[in-house]
Amino acid sequence: MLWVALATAISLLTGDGDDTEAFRAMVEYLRMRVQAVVSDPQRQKLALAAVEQTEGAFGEHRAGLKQVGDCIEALDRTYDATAQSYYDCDAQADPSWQRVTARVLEARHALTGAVSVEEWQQIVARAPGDPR
Amino acid sequence: MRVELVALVVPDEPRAAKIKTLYQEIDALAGELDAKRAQRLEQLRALDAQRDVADAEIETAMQGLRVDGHEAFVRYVSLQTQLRELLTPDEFRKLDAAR
Repeated sequence: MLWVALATAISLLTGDGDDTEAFRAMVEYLRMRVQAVVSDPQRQKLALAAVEQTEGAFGEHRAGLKQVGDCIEALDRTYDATAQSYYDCDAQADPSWQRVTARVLEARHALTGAVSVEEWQQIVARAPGDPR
Repeated sequence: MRVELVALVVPDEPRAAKIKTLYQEIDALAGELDAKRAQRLEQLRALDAQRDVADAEIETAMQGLRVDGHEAFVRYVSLQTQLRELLTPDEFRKLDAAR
């Protein structure tokens, strides 16, 4: 659930306004599932912290992608823009992708460490209201 | 919108037809990328049921999203370059204003 929801969010991310709502819905759903499934307060706190960590990572990633999108849009409006200038814009996305991947993995480790196998299965199971 | 305006902005018919095709290809790219992403997400969902998945599998799945985007971008840059080869600066400016 964690990375699927968030990978879904990545795929929706453009840096534009429309993706924010979908992303928030997925994170909120994940948070709700953790609260519903993990009854132990201490482990629930750790699991929710992992969700928050991921939320932060994607917020940063979104900002990074917005910069790239703005850069490309400016070139689209420039007659003298070269292929290299486009690739220079796009290259700015690489560090953002690397960071978000690393942080998602960290968060996933934190989540799997906080929940049991049974809890994990309940969290990943699709339920009514699942925005994926 | 720009596709519809090409004939008005570019007087030379054969050139206008080529430019129109390029704009149509640019518009189609987004749909193609969405379809690829849908496939990637299905792969991710298949991983989803597993709690103990190797980091490398997750990294590969996430990199796939980036690779798909990059491949589409390379095509996009090629189309943008071809557009500039076919359009005069003035035509480019007029069509850009229609965005």
